[in-house]
Amino acid sequence: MHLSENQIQWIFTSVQNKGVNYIDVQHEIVDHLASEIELSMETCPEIYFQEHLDNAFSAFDSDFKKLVRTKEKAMNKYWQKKTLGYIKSYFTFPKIILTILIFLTCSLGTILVGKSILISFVIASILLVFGTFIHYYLRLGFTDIEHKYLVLKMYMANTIGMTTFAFFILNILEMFNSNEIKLIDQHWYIYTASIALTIGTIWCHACLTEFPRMLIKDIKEKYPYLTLAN
Amino acid sequence: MNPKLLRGSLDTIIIKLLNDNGEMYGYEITQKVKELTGDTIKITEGALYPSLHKLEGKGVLAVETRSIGNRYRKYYSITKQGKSELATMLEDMKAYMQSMELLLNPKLA
Repeated sequence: MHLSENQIQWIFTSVQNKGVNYIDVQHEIVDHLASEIELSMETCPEIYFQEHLDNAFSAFDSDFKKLVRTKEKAMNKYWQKKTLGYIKSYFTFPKIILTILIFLTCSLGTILVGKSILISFVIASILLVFGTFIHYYLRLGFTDIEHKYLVLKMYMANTIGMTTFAFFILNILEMFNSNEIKLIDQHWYIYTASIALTIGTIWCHACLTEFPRMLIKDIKEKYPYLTLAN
Repeated sequence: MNPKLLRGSLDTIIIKLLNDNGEMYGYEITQKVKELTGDTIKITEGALYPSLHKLEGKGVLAVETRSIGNRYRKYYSITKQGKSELATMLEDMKAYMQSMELLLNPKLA
């Protein structure tokens, strides 16, 4: 026995009323409850649907809010593993050759650009604008629905959250160089700025290419009911 | 059966089932466990889904969601990483069961 569209919608509403607000989490719980109800409707057809639903909720034996919290933790770990795993790949052969080249370019750039306070300020401003651009690019047009899907929320936390942090560090380094201390003459500053710029460059590249691809692939496989604006 | 006894072995049960049956969905896993154990072991949803989500997060399980008429169903399957972890998990479980046997039935030893 299959449940009707209205009955499925009613289960969605009931699950949401239990405190499960993420649509992607609701889908899995709804399928579980619906499977349970369909089975019990076959064995006890004389009972009304609402009673079957109440029984299914009782049998579910779980605090829904706790279930959402564990899902949030697992999803956060999943995106951390994906994003940081990709960045780590730049520190293994053969990609590490590219990383060394980026580091050398960043070091040279830091030394040359750092000599001029004006250029340092311009670079810091460009970084700020570029960071803002990435912030909006990563959203892939889902600003309005971000809070409704756990997958989008965790993707944003692990990409934009990290991007904001990276640009903050880069800006601090650039701004510090613009004062009278002339940090550019100190070796530790060149190393720190170069490492930060190298990781920042790899991160930006991943934000513009790999991370959105990861999200789109995940949505196709795991969340076919989720459509992005572009 | 006391659910506390099951807690430490739930991951192993899930991975073993998925290894033997290919892809499965959450409700199917609970039913399969009930069927295989003659209703002795009942996996609660409150334990099953956090475990499934945790294993998915660790990359042990892969997920594919498909439409089944008027709703969507999430199918879990074991990844390569999961297959390699299963062998270790089963060995650990066997060693644990043997140790428990020795503790509970010292005469047999």
